[in-house]
Amino acid sequence: MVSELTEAIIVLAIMALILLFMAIKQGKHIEGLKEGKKLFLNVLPLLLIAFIIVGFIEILLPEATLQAWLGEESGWKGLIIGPIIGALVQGGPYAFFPLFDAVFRDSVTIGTAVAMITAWGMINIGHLPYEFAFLGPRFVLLKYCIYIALPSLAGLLANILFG
Amino acid sequence: MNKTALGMAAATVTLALIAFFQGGLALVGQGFLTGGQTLLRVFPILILAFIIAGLSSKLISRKIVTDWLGQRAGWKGPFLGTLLGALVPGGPFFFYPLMATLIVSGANVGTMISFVAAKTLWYIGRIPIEIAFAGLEITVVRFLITFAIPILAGIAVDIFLPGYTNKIKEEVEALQAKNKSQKSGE
Repeated sequence: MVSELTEAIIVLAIMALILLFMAIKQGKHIEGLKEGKKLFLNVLPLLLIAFIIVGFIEILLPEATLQAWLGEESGWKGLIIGPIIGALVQGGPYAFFPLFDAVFRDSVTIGTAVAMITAWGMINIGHLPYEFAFLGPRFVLLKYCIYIALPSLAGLLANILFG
Repeated sequence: MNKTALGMAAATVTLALIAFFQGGLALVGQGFLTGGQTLLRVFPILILAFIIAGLSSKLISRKIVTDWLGQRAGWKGPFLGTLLGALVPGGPFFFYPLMATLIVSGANVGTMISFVAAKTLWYIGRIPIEIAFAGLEITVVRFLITFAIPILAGIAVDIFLPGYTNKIKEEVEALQAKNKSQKSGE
């Protein structure tokens, strides 16, 4: 766990440094860092609630149930149930990823993980009101016809190639 | 944002009640403690993630996006749509209205299908938090497997449904007219 966390910090620090360098060249680094602080303070209340929820789910949800639904023995079911859960989770990345880490990460196959994260992003039901309001039903229909099966297929591919 | 916070607060209360009936105050306390520990563990990552989000939002402006993805994009639309979708910051309350503006100003629907897929699959501002919580392996595998989707989907739409751009443009314009008349009526 510690090494994975360190790994993540190193990758992110490199990304941050590259962006900082680009921003300094354009004289936008102060503005950008201030924007980051503003974003952080905006999301902070949500973040605190998200982590409390994650804490509760972790102690309340029995590991065995999770394993049966989404783990190795769930087989193809994980590739269907995983994306459905992903598409339903609301609250943006700062709610979804901590939840994924605490609840699903250790019990799911790589395919189910890929399917769940892909579905959370691509076919999230929380986007539907915006899509209908700004782009109209025809666009929504087109988008979902193309993308609805993709998370499960991506998961299947991940299981075959990397499982 | 407020609705989300309210919904999440309700979920927290529900979960706390369930914990209380299952194991009393001790279990409620344990829930808070577990959550707090997770938060502390990932705190450095969160700080880095927000530095990245803030900097990237200042490095790419709405004007760049409109210039690149409008009418003049042509066959390059799906490629540029994918690229910018991966770079443009902001949540659904920002990028769906932006897409509506782009369609009205002449962007192809294929470009928009690419854009929305890249925004929701590849957006670089989200990668830090994904690496932090899902781990490097899952993030990389997910990225490799879904890599071609935004470009291929956009090209397919432009080739097989060429008439769709105008139909969707009409619908978006009708929606915008309706929103406008509602606003002026208030």
